[in-house]
Amino acid sequence: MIKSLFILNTGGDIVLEKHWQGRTGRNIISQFWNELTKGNRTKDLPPIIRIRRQTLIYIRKYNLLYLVVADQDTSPLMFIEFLNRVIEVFSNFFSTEPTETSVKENLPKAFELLGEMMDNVFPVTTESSMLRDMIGATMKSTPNTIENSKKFATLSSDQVGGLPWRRKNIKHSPNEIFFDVIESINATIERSGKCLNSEIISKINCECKLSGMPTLTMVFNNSSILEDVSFHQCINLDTWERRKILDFIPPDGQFELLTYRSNRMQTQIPLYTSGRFNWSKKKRRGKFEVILQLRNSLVKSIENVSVLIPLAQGCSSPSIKTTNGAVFFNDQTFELKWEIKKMPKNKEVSMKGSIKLPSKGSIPREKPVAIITFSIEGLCMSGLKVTNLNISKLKKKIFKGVKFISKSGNFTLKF
Amino acid sequence: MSSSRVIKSFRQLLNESKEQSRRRLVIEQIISAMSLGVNLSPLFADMVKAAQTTDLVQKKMIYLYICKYAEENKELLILSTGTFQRDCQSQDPLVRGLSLRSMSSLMNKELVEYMAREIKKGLMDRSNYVRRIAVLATVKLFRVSPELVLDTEIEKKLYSMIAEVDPYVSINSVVALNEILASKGGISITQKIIIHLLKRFHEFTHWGQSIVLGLVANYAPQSEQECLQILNLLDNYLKSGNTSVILSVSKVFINLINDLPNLRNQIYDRIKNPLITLVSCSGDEMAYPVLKHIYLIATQLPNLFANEASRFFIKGSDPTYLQEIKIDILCEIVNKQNFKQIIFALASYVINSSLNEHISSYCIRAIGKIASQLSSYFDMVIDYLMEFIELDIPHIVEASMIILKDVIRLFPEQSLEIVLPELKRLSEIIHTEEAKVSLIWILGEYGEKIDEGPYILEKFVETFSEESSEKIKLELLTSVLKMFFKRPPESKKMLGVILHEATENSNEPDVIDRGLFYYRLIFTDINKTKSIVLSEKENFTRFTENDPLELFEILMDEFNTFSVVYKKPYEQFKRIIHKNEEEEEEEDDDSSTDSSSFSEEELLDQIQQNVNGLDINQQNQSQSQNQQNSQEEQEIELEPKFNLEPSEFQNKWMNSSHNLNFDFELDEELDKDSFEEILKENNFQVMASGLIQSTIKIFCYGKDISNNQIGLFQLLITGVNVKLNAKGTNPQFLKLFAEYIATVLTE
Repeated sequence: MIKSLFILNTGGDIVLEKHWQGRTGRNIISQFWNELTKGNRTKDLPPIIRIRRQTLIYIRKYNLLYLVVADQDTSPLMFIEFLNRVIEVFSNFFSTEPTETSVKENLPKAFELLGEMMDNVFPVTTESSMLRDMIGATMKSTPNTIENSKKFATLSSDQVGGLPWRRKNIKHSPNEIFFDVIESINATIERSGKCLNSEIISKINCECKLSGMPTLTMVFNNSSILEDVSFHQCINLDTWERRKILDFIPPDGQFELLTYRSNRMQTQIPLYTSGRFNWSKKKRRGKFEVILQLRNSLVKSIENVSVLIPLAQGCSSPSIKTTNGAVFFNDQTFELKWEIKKMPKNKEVSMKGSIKLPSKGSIPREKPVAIITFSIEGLCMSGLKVTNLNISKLKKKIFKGVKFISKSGNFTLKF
Repeated sequence: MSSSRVIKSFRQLLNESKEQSRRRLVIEQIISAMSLGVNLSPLFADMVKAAQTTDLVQKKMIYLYICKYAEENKELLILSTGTFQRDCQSQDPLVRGLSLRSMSSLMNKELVEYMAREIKKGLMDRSNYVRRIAVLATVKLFRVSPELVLDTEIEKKLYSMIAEVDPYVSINSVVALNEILASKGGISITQKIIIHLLKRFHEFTHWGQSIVLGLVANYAPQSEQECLQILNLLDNYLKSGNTSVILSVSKVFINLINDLPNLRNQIYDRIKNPLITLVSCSGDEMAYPVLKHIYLIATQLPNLFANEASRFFIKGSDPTYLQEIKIDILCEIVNKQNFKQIIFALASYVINSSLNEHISSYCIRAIGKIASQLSSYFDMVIDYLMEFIELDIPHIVEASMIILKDVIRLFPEQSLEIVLPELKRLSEIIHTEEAKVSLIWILGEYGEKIDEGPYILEKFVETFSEESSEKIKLELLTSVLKMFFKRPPESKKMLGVILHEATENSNEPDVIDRGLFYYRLIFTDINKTKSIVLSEKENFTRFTENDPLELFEILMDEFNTFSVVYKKPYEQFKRIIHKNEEEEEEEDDDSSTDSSSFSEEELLDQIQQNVNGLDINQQNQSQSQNQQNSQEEQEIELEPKFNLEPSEFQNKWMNSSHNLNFDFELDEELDKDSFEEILKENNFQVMASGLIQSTIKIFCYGKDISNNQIGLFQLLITGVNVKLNAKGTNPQFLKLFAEYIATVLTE
């Protein structure tokens, strides 16, 4: 299955290589790099390719490229999933994003982790919570000698009846658990402000610092929102099927509890957008206007709204008026960006203006689009609410909280 | 290059550092230098000595080092067995496990006896952690000495360990048995084992679940009731947070359809939403293989995703590989209800200038493909194609004309009605080569049906002598001849002109040849010429680029494997390891450890400072990057215009000092011309070629620019099997050359 892992930096240099079976030569990496950089379209090389009759699978994150060399007889998803987990585990153990610097600084730890995550070419465990048990010794700043560490004589994951995602004997003080419900809206809006299509992609992230083996139950006001859902392994699927409540013993630390997809919106799209854009042949310029307004009565304010319009090559000399915020034009990328620090309530804001086309060349055939980004705390667009969160088997006082964030995913206005 | 000073410095540091925390730092530096590609093999004895530490962190790093350099220090390895054995007796299960895992990774024949003994002990260890590792170590032992594992007590023990309470031990035993017994078809999948594993399914990690699902997919349930039980049990896991589990469950479900044909639609319905959710909720890299699977399912059940067309619309931010597969899916799921929506979307991508040219041509081809599937809407397709052509954007016109030609071939009568009146206008607006070729073909084939047909052709004939494209000239010759037999009075003159121009005033040998050929044909027997030129065409019903339907059936059997991503059955791309290739892989390894050129001074500084706990990261990083950049691989690059006289070639062939035979397999069969073309493209010169029965024989040669090495080759190609015989003066280079040819031909 997975024979070797290479981590490359943006220049194609090897930052780390780990071989689980035999050794894969570095030559294949330079061939891969040639493929990747061919024609300056690095983004377009499929993540699963064959080079020299071997299968290579790669993903990118934080300016590093993770590449595995694989045998061909297994599920392609497994490899990509594994790479994602490697990144997740590195983040947890390095306490920072795995970048070139942090990987190099944590090299011994990285090797240790990879050694435990996979043995004999097959993933064993990729749960940070479980790995902590085996990597434990490195986490301490002073070396502990084997004789002194009585702790290891009873390796906690050794105990029978453990869970694959949580080790026993976890202690925390204070005990706390926080949930972030993050909903991203993908939408295409017509120039009139009418919504052509929309979809909400959401996830619930959790940060758990609870002692022992607590059992949580989470009840929602409207569980039918969670129809297209995928759960973390800790969630008891039978209870969900029968009673539509979440019943789980959480992993320790940060993890993604579930993701869901929904087409229904309980509220209106919180930001009303409309606008127009016209190319004038005679004057060789584009005239445009974008209007935004807060539409949701539940929302007090939105901060950091931005509107990005990628324009045709060679455009120049924007002349723009806005009611609020500031406009920036990048004459290298030909992108126009309107930023509004704080949107007022009950008042529409607008940007109006024009841009020059280069004096030669054809008039662009189609109009540009505007890409809108925003983020709103405290709003849940799908209408999902947690009505009850119960934690059993833990007598101590527990701090708990649920936070909602609604934000733009792929949110575009078509002129 | 020598790294002796670095080695010396490390050795000194190891000897001097007594304090544990300092030793840890030194060893950390050794590991860092090792992963930069510095060859630290000479430190082996020192590191083995250092392994006797009681600090687990150091021990882990030292074992990492020992595993890396064991191969090169076979004689010294025996020194380390004492440490390994002692550690296998440690009180701490982490140490026992570490020792067992490292020892079994050494793949050393000398150590198998020790290994086997410790593994057997490990299988009985009181710690679950150690037993997990011991189980997987049996596989590593098997790779070195199969006879010590196969049909022994170990094999029996592994079967019994599936029943162990610890879920990792249980799953690892399944994994181990599957690999050890691979030649016998893997672990024997009995009802007992399946029931046992499914009962405790929730205890396993996602990875373990995927393994179990792999077994269940190959299991034949004994009754319909059992099928339903499996179905119900696994249904929930379509909500798993692990994509690999979701696809594995889907595979089990699809396999169960054979036993439950009446549930076919319901089963696919269950799979549908989880797959769509995966596409929307995960990154591009994950979406790619999932979309490939959706595409495959869509080829079997086009209607399943028909209402979801908008989910496969492309986004400007999608990488090309996602855009392509989404367009492929749209072509499969199109039906009478969503036809307009899909065609409209595809048409809008064609004219969207933020998408690249490749994608806009891809969309035009997709539109043509859809016309071939839904014949009742072909007129709408033609309208779009005509519109595209009028845009006058070269790549769009080019692709549209080619597809227009194909659509006419599919539905000649109906589409000609629309296209024929437009031909004259089209002939005035198109400029690009392929587009013109297509137009001229249409004129030759159907041009007689409109009054001005011959005159449009005549316009092209008038500029024949200035035409630089050989393709256009050839097509024009044929079309004029066709027209001559259909409308002789109007075409006689132009035929004379073109034959004269072709045979007398052309430079292209193919054009002259075809001209002469037609000329002689006409003078030999005019009626026969007519029957040859206007022969009945075979009925054309499918685009050649459409895939054979059987392919998808095979791929459905290989659901959730790479076959689906590559759209090729496993048989066609499985990796056959040849002797040569293995040797060459080993050679790669050597170069990887030795090829690093680094500045000793800088490295020494860095080690010294890091050991002293100083942070000089910024500077070091740029240094280490330089070090890696300067690594050079041996790459073949051929001189483009290198030429040998046949006599020279023969002379060299007979007298070369070295000879190498290398066999490999191609991904697909090619004809002789394509081989020659590929070789020429890569600057190989073809000396001679021929076809003996079904074997293609090619002699070629090439000269590497940087090293001035000449390689001579004989290729014998039968189907996908290639026998390469290479001759030259330097054996190392012959290997590189041979490898290079293999790479060139297989890609």
